[in-house]
Amino acid sequence: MKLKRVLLPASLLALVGTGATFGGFTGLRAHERLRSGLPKLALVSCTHCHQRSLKTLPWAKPRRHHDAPDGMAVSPDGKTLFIALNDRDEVVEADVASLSVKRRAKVPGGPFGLALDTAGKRLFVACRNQDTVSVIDTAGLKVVASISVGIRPTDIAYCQTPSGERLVVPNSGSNDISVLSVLPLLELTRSAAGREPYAVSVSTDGRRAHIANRMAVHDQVLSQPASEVTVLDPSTGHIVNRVELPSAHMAEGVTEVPARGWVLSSMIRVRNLVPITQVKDGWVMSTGIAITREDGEATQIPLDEANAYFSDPSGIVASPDGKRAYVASGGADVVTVLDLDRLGAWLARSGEPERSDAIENMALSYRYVSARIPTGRNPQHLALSPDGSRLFVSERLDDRVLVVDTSSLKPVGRIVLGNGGLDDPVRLGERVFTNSRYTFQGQFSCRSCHPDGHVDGLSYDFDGAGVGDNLLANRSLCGVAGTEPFKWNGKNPTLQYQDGPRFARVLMRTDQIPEPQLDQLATFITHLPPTRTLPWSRVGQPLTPSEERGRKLFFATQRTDGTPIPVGRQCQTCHRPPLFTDRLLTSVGTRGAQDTTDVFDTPHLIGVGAMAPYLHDGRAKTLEEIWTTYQRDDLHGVSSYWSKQQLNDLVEYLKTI
Amino acid sequence: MKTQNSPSKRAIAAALSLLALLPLTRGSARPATAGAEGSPISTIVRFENFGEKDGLPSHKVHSVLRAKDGRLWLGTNNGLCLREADGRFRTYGTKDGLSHPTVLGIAEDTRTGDLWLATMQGLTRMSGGKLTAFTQTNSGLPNNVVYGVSVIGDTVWAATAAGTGALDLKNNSWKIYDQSNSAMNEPWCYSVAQGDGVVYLGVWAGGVVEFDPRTGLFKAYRDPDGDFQIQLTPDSGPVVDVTSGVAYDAGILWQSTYFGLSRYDTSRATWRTWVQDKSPLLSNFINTVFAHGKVAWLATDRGASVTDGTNWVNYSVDENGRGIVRTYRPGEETQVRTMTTALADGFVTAIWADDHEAWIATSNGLSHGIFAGPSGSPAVASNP
Amino acid sequence: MLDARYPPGSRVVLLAPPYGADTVRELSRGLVAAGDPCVSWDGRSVYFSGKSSTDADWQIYRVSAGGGRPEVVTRVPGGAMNPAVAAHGELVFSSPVPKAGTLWTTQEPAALYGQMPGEAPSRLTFGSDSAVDATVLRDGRILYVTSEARDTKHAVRHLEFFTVNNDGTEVTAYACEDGGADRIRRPRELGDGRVAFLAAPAEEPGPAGWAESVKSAAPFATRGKLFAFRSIGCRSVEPMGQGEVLACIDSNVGAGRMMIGTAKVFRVAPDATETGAPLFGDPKWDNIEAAPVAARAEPNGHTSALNLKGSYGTLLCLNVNFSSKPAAAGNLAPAAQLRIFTWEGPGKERTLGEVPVESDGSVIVQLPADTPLGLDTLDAAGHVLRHQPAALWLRPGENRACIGCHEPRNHAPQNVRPLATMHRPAHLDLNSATTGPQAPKP
Repeated sequence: MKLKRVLLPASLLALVGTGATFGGFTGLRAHERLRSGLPKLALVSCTHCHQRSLKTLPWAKPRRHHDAPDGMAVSPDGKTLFIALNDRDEVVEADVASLSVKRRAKVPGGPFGLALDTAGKRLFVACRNQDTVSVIDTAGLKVVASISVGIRPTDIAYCQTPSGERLVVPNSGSNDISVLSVLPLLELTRSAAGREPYAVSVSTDGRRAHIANRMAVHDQVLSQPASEVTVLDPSTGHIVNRVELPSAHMAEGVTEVPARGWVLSSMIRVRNLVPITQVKDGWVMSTGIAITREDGEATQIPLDEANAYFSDPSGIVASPDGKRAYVASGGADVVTVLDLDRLGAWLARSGEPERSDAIENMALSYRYVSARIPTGRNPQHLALSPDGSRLFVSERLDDRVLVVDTSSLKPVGRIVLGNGGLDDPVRLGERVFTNSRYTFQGQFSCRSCHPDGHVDGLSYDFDGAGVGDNLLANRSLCGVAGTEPFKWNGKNPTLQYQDGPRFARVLMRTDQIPEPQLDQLATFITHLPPTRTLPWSRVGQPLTPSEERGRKLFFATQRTDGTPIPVGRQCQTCHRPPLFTDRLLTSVGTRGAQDTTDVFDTPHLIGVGAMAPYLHDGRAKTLEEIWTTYQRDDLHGVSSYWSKQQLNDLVEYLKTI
Repeated sequence: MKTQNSPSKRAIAAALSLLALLPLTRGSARPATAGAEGSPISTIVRFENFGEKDGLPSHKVHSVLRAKDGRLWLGTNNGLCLREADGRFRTYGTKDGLSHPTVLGIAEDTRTGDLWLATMQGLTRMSGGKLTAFTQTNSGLPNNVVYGVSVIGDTVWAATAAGTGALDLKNNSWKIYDQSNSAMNEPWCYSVAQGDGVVYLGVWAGGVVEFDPRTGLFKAYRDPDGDFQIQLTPDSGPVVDVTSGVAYDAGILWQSTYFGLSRYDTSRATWRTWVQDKSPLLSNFINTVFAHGKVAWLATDRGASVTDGTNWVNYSVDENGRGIVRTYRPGEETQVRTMTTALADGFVTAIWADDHEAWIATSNGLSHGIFAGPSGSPAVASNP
Repeated sequence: MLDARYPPGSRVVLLAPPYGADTVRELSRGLVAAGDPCVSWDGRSVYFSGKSSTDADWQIYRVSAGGGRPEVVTRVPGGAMNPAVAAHGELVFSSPVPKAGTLWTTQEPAALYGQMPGEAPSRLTFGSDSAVDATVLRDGRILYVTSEARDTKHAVRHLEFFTVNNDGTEVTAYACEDGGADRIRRPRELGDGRVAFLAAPAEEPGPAGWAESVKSAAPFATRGKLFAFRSIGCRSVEPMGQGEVLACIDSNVGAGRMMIGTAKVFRVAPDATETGAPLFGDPKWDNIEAAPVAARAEPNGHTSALNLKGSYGTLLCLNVNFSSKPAAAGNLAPAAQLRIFTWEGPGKERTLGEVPVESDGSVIVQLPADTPLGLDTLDAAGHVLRHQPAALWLRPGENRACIGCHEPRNHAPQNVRPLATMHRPAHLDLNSATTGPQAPKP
């Protein structure tokens, strides 16, 4: 390490010295052109290739942890509220009457979703950070059992079935659903879900579990995406139905309304196929609720109004009598109260054309929205007392839980968990990131397209000089620190420029985010770590033989037969470690019919396994398609000599980056 | 067209079949429903046939599977077909997400209830009514021509024209096995079957390859004489290397070929082979084999054949379209009788069977083989 | 028209608590007439329309709420009126000031202008009808009153609310498209999700008006009375915060005409069933309008994407067949062509050309900027299916889209890729236009 520290500057000095000797910058430029494989490259900073260590990046450094409330569960008697603190590795037991914290328990692995058994004696915890489900004995508030599940479990539901007790766990990172038995604690099945299964709700009879999937998927980049409500039989673990919700995504909440035979899931109605020529009238996106009936028919209705949006709907709960539903809008700091009687009446008198058109009718919601309750910052999770009298709202970025009296819809008070972290610039930046106040009519926040800072899996046609010629895939912000310039055209030198004047012009249609908030936002983004794509059990483990073969292919300088691969066509040249990008514009032969350029910014590859779709316009649904379908003349790396096995090896390696 | 017999006809058929099968009914330990008393081979007494007029999307049926939940699935030349509870057929095609209309194989993941479909252009998953295609371009599938599929534990095995692909469902990662990294002598794979802790791959001109996932080791079972025209060394290995199908159950591995049949008793490590000229084997041309217990159901170009290696029952169609059943028992004369109903077609492409019924896919429709009941009367067999 | 509303001697005055006549302080000192007050968002300045002499044009003046002499901030030919303040202190006003009774008939319609402090005004609206009574919504849009072009559908001109961004882009109908009294004016966004305004059956001076409102959640479906009590004689409404409304009402007006000298200022609580005691009702003062002087949240701004050096904008219609109105003569044929025309005066339209409609109904076309544009959808035989009067315009470099022709209001687009975006837009120019008689209406 020390040797490297000495050698690198020495080499640079020697290089510069050489350059000075043999023609000043001419030598340096020749070096850069040779090593980049870009014969016309203008002089650029040495840091494009000689990058700093990942350890120096903001996201790799120790950070502050906060008492942000995530999933919640209410005891059967309604007196106790359990709160998951993902960032603290803790579960809190709070007294509802006194609004006070009674006990805190250490729960390793990042507790995120909670569920209680019928008697309230066992608390089941989905631990998102380490892919486990833990069982807590509520009497002692101690972990008594634990089991591994899929990647990043975000929710958990408990039910009793004819086959025994069951837990249903959506694994958002591995796109599957674990069904567990409780005694013994075993994983019975793991079924494929949609993309990013995020929330689960089980029917009171244990007959059905409904899982909301956060991401939408599409067949082709210009075809309509759809997310899925996965219907599962908890008794057998079998998938019973997959209800498609066209153009719906970011479904982070789901709840049953037994009295009506409905399942409600929160959602964003995205309109990514329409050029973003404007924002008003829900042109970019709007929020809504999907009502799925037992027969699988689904109706999407708006949560927004004609001139106001309630962005990032997340948690949703229904009152036990089925008369109300509550929806938390994390970007608008609001809980919306839906009158389900009025909604049911509207549905009953509306024909199929009206129902299918409902989500586009921005002036519909006043018919069934009975109240909007203001909350603290970034409400995401909701819980309702068993008798429906108290609504609990996790005000994530205030470190508090708001308690609402549902008869008056007025706050009773707050359970204070922390101080809000106002002295932490990263936290302040997260407040900017998650709030929609900076976009026209509050239609969306940064998070609306970048859940957890990551991708939403869609391509958008941004406004530019023309219309319809700027289709670009969403890019992850996770691990983006140090990879400037930003955007596919590489025109944004800093995050402040990208998220400030640039986005104000092409996307937000408001004043740009004020500079202090812009700096906070940039701080937050640079602290977003890369997305984990491997199971927790594999983190830090050696590569498998297949991955190792793929790694060698990635760094290959010659073909299998010994033929040299031109520098500019070696994977490692453009996707140079440790950031896996040279931060330069390169043509890889992907210019589309309507693109105005054939060079695009080289994206970094850290976490690339979870960044689908790929290429600048998102035309490649999978990593494989980059080389099987959209490779042209070996321009995107020399791949013509690869066997299918080698391609599979490369893909396996890429998924480990 | 579905054939419905009148009650009197059915009674006659039952009586005839009882008479015909008497020689086979001695000394068997199989349950009564498995066939005429004592026989290890279930015996079909009547066929119900289904074709395009009944709602099948094509008269060419390539694959058939009755899932654990009782639903019957058919892979046809024109889509995947489900026989609904009311007996009607519902078809899923490419517009529904099927990767190709020709469905050559169907396998069930019994833990999740998902179906995996081998098609002429990729592998398709049917889950919760939704079809998702995996192709050689969008996934790690080795080749789009998928002949066979099997789900073994957390792995989906797909036999393709360019090797066998193994999709690890938990890690969403693919492995490819072909001549470069296994005991295969060539990549063209036709069939996959689950053994006891091992996987059997039917390789087109490479016999049967056994793979042990625990050790990662392969073992090839090849025709000892290496000749598919003559059998120089019978009962010493696969009858030929040209494998059209493999099936395994109860410790017995079956290999179907276009030149005969092989049986491998894994507990004794002994092979037996049959060719048409020297055994009751209905035809050397066997499209595929289905194993149930110690019995193999053979889909041949001349009809369906059932055997435990000792006893044989062959169902064929004569030149007048009548159903002919021939029963063989060692040391006894061959019993031949004419059935009141016949297979939909003599060219049988796939079979699924259990102790209660058989579903036989042919190139000209689907046949439902109804077994003799405990008393020799036709068993009640219908879809849920 | 201001001369009638604000006759000589009209003044803008400041009242301080307890709002007696002895607290009145004149803010429009030195002017012969003044009215139309508007308070800046920081509560420190008051803008109003004023006239320095009897023969002078009306212009916009600004005065400190703390007192002092008013300073003129506009010097536009033909005068200026209806001041409103947008983000960053931008002044919005209408110009020219039409003569009394000619607002909706004049050959020189009043347009909206925006003027940043210290800069020259820039025109924001280019419709064929006047754009007046602007107010600025919290989302930054300018809400104003106009008429849907010179359409003959109403025997009496029916006024509507429209919005436009502060760079003149995205002109859009906001409310009051159909039904209700034909005359509306003086909209103000309340703090409770409603927009209040004054309605009357005819232009002033005419029958007394009353206060109405629409819910911003569904403005086209929720037009109704603002107050639970009878408000005939209402002259102005302004938000006060906490759901209260400051209203100027001549409570002595019956069903007949306005009586001079009897209007009082009321502070109306939410859900009030009567006006209650006036805040200010000195009989010596005829109160025309009242606005609270207080700091409020500044509205959002709008980052313009215009290229003012250019001369064209681009219009994308997702589906010209999508409409809330039936086609002419029940013609169910899909549109094959879109004819675009500009307006050059009453009864005088100038066809710019026709562009083909894609099979999904989408059209994309580059059109001359800053000119009123109307649209006719035509079937394959050239018959007009639907007629959209020249109420639309594009700004230079504006990319403008709509989901249909006469489409349902407050409707979001379906998430479908329009075929028209798969190729470069057609181009129509004023130079290629042909002037002719107005196209036959369906």
